[in-house]
Amino acid sequence: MTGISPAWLADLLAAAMLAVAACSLARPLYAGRRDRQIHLDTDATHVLLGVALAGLLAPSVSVLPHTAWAADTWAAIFAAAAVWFAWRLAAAPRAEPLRYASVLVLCAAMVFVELDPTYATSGGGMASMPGMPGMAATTSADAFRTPTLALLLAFAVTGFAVLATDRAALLAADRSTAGAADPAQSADRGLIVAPRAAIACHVAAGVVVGYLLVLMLA
Amino acid sequence: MSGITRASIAPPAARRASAASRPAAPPLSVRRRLQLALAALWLFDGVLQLQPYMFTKSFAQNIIAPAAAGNPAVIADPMTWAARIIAAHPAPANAAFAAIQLALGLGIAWRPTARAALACSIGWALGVWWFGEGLGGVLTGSDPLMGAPGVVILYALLAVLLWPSERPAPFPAAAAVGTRAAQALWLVLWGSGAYLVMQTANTGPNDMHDMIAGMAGGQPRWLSWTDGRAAALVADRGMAASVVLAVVLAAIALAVCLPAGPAQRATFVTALIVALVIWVVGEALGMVIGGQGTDPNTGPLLMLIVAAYWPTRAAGPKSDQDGAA
Repeated sequence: MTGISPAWLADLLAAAMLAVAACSLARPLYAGRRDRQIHLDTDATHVLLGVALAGLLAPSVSVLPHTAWAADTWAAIFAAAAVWFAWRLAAAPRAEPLRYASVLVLCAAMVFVELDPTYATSGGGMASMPGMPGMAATTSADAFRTPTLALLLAFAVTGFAVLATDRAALLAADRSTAGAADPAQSADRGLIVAPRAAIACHVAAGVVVGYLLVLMLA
Repeated sequence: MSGITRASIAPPAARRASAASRPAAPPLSVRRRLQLALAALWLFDGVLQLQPYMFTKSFAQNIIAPAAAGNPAVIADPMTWAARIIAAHPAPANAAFAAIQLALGLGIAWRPTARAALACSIGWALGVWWFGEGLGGVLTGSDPLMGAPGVVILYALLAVLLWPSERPAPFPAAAAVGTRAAQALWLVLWGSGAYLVMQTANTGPNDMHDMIAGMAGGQPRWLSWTDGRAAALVADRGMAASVVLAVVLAAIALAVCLPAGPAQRATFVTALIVALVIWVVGEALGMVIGGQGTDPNTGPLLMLIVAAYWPTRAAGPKSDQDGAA
């Protein structure tokens, strides 16, 4: 894997991921006060994604040390989330499968990223730079390299990001239609909190996960 | 994206009530699906453009500048000039390139901006086709097996073919430009492939072997093995392999003139297989594995184009499902 450079790009993406985490944390809090609906499991996953991705991109903001056990912990968390969304998808395959499938793919990709030895122990940034501490990890990483799977996951993640973006416009149309059809709806009661913001968070996380997967192709 | 609402973890009756109150998402038209596939490829290109290698001078010196070689001065000189500018400012230039491609991908996917993004993608693709790809090697005898006539011109072609339109058409690509024009574009695309594969630079006894074998290095084991076997298959049989490929490409080109039916569908399936072979064997998945690939190359785009020419069963799609909103 190639190191993340330039450094400002990693910092920029890390800041974006922290914003994703903050936005996803704020939605449930706002919904609780205004009696509005939320996607609790998705918001929680987005918070975890934002925090984990920011830590991978910029080790200085990582909440866990860059050790193998921390990476395994993250991997276990996202594996559990993947199982949850897989179950949701299987239990209600017609209830907007895109919702569950897209988060499921993101979680699976995060498990893959976190289990990559280079990211796991070196925070991505300096993993394979000559003369840097991550060199030892690179050797072990080579033994575990599965670039084809990384490529497939990168395709899947970016594909779902595109589908989510398309879905966002439909949500906007649904919202205006609901408001026009039923004046009670215009008071926002029962509506999802900022659905397009949630989708934007998902798309941003998808692009960053895709970026990390692409770095694993090198 | 979303996952679970308060309503959906509520009792089943409440869940049904909530679902009933929410309008179901309309199914995507074939045209919109193809637009989204195009958007995904642009987005993937943008992500590839963020690779560390692209932020170095090497991107301009080793990827862009070499494409000028062999082209007439009127084409090559502006390319050299552009490569020099990018090499002087690699980070800001590449950041702009990546941002543009990411914006094109998300812009096509976001329905209100789909038209504008498709239009911009045509201009961007034409610029990159010249300044970044040297017209895809069309003037230098490049082989379709290796990516001729250039991947970005296919992005532009798809943007034209998938332009939002309400017009009923026998296949999605015909809705925007008309059946005759769409057929002509197909003929030019695949016919030019048949012509290019028979160029002198590609018909030597080991030209095809060397091209394919050269792609095997640094790839995953299965891909290296596949490329190695394919290279061995055409070793010392360059002319014969080129003739076979040219005949197949010419047959695919003519298929668009056939009436919709089993024969045309069979030829389109052949086109899909040829595109897959080009992508895997000739292009090694666009060499994206290795850290220096800027796009997945022509294979996926050719498959998308074939899908755009697949006969439709019903009348044309509605505009609100086409990114025309």
